[in-house]
Amino acid sequence: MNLLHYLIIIPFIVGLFCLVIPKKLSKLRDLLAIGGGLATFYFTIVIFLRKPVEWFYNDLLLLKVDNLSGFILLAIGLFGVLIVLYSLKFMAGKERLSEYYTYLLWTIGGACGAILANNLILLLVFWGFLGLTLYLLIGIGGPEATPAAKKTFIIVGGSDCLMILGIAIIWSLTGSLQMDNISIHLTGLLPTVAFLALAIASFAKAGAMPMHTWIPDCAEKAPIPVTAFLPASLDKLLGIYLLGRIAMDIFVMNKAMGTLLLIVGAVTIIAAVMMALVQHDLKKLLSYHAVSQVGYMVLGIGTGNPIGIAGGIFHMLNHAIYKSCLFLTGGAVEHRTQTTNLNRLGGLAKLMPITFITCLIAALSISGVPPFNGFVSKWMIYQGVIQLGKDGDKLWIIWLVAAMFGSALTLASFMKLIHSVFLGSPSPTTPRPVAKRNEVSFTMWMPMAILAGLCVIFGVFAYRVPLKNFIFSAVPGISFLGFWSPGLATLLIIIGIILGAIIYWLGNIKSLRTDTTYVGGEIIPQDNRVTGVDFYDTIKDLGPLKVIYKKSEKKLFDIYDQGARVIFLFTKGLKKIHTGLLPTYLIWVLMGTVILFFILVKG
Amino acid sequence: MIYLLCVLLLLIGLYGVLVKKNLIKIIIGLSIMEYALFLFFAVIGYREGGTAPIITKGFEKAVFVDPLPQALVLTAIVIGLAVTALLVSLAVRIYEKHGTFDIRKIRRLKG
Repeated sequence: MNLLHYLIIIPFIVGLFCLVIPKKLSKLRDLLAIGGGLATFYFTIVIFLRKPVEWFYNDLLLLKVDNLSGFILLAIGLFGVLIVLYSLKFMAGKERLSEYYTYLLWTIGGACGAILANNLILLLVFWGFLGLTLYLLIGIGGPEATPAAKKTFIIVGGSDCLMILGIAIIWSLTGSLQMDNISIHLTGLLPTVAFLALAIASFAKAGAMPMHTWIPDCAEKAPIPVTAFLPASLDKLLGIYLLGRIAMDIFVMNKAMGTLLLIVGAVTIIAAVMMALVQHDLKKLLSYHAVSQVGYMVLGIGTGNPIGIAGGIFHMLNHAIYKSCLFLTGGAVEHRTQTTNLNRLGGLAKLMPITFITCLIAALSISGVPPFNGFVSKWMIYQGVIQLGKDGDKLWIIWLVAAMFGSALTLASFMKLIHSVFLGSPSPTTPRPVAKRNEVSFTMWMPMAILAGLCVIFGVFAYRVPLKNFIFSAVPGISFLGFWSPGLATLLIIIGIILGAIIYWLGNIKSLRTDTTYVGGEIIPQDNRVTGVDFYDTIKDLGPLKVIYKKSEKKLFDIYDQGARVIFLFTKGLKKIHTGLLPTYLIWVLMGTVILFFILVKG
Repeated sequence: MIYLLCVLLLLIGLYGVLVKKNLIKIIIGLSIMEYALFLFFAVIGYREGGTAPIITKGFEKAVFVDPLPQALVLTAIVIGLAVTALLVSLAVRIYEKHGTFDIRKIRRLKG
């Protein structure tokens, strides 16, 4: 048995055991789940250190690990363990737990298989299986999650159909399905259609703009660990991995396709972040950012030069880390207060310090604030775009402005989130935690702390740890345009913070006198407070934006609803034939049989 | 000519299945179709002047009708009985759920 088989077989078998263990032995089931996650993680480390590993079946290279897939496997293993660990406490006492752990482990196995696969059909099988487990995992959220699960399944499954089409075209063009020896030039109609089909499949998985609409619905209804695992981290890794593979290995990119990717990236960044600005729900706000950040990755890969592609892939890894962390902190808040409505939260920083700090680090990271990891990858993408301009692209300034403006808006919307959840005055409607220990338990804050720690390490030691080990070997020929020394910058930032602290401390030497607010003798009602929910609400009334927001509230930009409308129009006539009377159907069947009979007898 | 009668019987059954709106009548129609087939099989095996295919003393050289279709039909009748019983029990359940045998009112399949 090859080393690579363990990655697929272990999660599947352990998952199967989780399914059949009786309900009474729930401790054993939890142990099994975490053990399966740890074993998979262990093997991903072993494989990462030994790469390249290959497995041949009858001289056919089916599974392989190279420089690009190695660190993605590592990330999948790590996220698997962290999410199982987090779920132990978060999901405790919920329904259908055995199924939940089974699907979680199967997802890990399927994702490893999809990353390992070198044959396009094998990739397709694992890809489809992941769509199925995604559907099942969202369904764990209860009956109200069913529409979201259905929507996800239709969008992701529909894009899988396009993927089959793309693979079929590739096969007819080259007669080969091995990813390592296909190289198609994008000239003519067929290669372009194949590229677009595969790109749409990867967009749907990662959640780029026209195919993103399942992510907000899914985040709202599915259990938070599921959101943190699949749409936030794993699906990004898989989707951008596929995009990177097709853009770097399978197809030789040309200018038109690159520009298409740039447009998709830029539109995704701006439109999704605008939607995120006006959200009133913690989970929905985070999910729109999960869409917005995909734009950076697509933009990076669309630049087509090594630094941009490396930035896109590095951003994918960073995104998985900080967005997972953000969703997990959101889960911790929900676990404590039973709500994710921003209006009903507030003042949690003192009650949940670990959650606050991890959330702050991840929020700064996603906003691209140095010295955290989000900055490094975004900075690499900016360089890629500038390089594009140097190579003679006229529109480079538009992409650059879109990326930078999107980053600023991200920071703005995270100010809203941090303010209304952790700072601000406590909401009277929030159920006040009673116990002294308000922080969530160890198994819940541990994954958050590890992810936040990774955010810092990947930012401060960007060259020494992630770039050297993961990225440079995956994308050859990187040359930096600008100069950035993370160590020096971190030092300066820390000095700045210390200076600020000293000034704050000096100002507070003489103890301040506090008093209740006096507004002309009026009694101020308890719920009169600044929640931060209404930050940026005014942009909804801003000229042309007003129209767009109104339209998007009516789901005019939702490809799922529009598609449903077209299909219902199509089936209106067919619906009339369906009377529901069984004899009518029988008559149809008989008529068909008679016609077939005549044709066969005559022929 | 006798085969035509079998077809007529089958068509009568088919008419019942396709046109009648009462579930019980549809089941009766199905049974009629079954019997048409049984009759058809039995008729196939008939031979001019044949007797029952049982070898007894003095009848060793007699003309027998074909025993194979008869055996088949015998089995089929038993199966048909079971199928009818299942259909009727399903009809009882449907009546309990919908309170009617009229299939125009039981239309979960309506598009």
